[in-house]
Amino acid sequence: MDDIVVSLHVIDWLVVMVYIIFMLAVGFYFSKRKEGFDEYFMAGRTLTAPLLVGTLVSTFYGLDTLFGTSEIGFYEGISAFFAYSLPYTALYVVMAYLSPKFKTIFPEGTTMQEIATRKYGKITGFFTSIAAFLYSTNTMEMMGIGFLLHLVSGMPFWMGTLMGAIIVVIYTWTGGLWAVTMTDFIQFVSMMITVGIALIVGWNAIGGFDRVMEGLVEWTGSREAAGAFFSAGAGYLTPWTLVAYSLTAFAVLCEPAFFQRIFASAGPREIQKAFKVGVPMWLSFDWAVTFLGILGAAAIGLNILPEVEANEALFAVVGQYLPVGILGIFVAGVLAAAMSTADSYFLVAGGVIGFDIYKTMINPKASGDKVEAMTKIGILISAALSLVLAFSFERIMEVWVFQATIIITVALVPVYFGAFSRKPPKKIAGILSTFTGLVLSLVWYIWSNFFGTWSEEYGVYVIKIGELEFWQEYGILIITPLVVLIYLIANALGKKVVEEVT
Amino acid sequence: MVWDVLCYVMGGVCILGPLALIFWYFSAARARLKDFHNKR
Repeated sequence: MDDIVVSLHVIDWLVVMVYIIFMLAVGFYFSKRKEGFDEYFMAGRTLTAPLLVGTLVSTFYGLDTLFGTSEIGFYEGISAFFAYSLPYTALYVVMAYLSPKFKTIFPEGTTMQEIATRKYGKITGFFTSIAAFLYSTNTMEMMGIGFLLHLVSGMPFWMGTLMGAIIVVIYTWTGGLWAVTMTDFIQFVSMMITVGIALIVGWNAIGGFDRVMEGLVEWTGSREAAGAFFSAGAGYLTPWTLVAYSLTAFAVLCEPAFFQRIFASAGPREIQKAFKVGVPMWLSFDWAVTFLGILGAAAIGLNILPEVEANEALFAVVGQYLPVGILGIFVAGVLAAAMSTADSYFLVAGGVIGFDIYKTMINPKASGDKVEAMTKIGILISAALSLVLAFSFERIMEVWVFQATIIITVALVPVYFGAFSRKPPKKIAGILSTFTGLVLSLVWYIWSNFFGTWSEEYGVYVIKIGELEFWQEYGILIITPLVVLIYLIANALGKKVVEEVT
Repeated sequence: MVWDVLCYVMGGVCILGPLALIFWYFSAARARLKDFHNKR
């Protein structure tokens, strides 16, 4: 039990324990409602705007945002917000206008993958389902929970990861979307408020911008380097990597958990209101974690904090400035951020197995109870895969770019063309584009992991082709245009369309 | 100075945004829970 970055008081631990017990109790409370798959997976399609805001925001923002964005802020300054987070905000706004259209076009829809199946047939649906399943593995959150518990208790990484997985699976398994939605709101409130308090209290305590700059000058060694922290685009990341990070924002448009909420909403107006209200929440949270990362670097320069790793900076800052009790709520809030994301994706991954593959492709006449049972089996498979991957990957950002690449290259083009084009799309366009996206993404990442060179300087895999050097993250930049091209050519040349079954 | 103001504003949105939603949320949640109890 060593390397404790933030020491918690017994009151803080009590807050964390009460929070975990409460989450489990909510799961058991909603498990009493057994009315089949639609109630379990779609919450009876009755979710209204306020519930949707909480579940949308907290689902998409987990520990990757907390640790990843603050880490970029620690090294890159405000680029974390302007180059990485703002493209996401732009696409949340786009989604606010598209989500009611999906709900209107597919009022009885269940998943995004179902759209692919209905428009292009089972083969395309299968490839899209595989992509959604891989995207929905909770690798980042499992890594994050293990990392968090290690920071506050010195607990071994594997033990924290395992504990987190067990707790999340229990309440997702028992309660379904109702439990997820109800707990998401509590998790949303605690993670937003504690991050906001940490930013205001920390920024004020350190002495505001002037003192932050003093700290950055000390830390970086020059006023010019410190000034780069407040200049968007400055830093060690290459322009292409920033473009690649920005491009991952398109995952917002083909996010399986968003589609589940869209179809589970009480109506098009409810989901649109939820996205619109969610935008300022996402924006302010991104800002807060970026500046907590900058604050960490400045506090080290001012000798307020000891030297810590970049991804530990946010925790070191809040541990320094938040009082007893509030710190416990913050840790609970961070656990909340991880759990609210993990529970949603376990449920989505379960739905891929239970609904998209079992009911849609294997047994269309399956009863609701049978589909629910298969969904729960899918949750367990996803949890096992998440744990395996959590122990395999090194960096949280690496996992995120991989998962975003998979879902964007496979699902984005066929789903949007399928849903919005006036003419029925060609079957072959869906098959070829999803197959190409899936295979190339997997090959790119496996190849770069095994045959790429690890750069200690940048912390990335580099692939050399002749004289050219590619970072692993560039995969999304290469594969996406290729998939669009293949789709357009196949759709122009193809003949056969799928008879849509509703 | 502008960074100070922006940090306090964004921190404020983080705190006040969810608090403002709580009232909205509980009115909806109360209706849902009432419905849930009726169906049990």
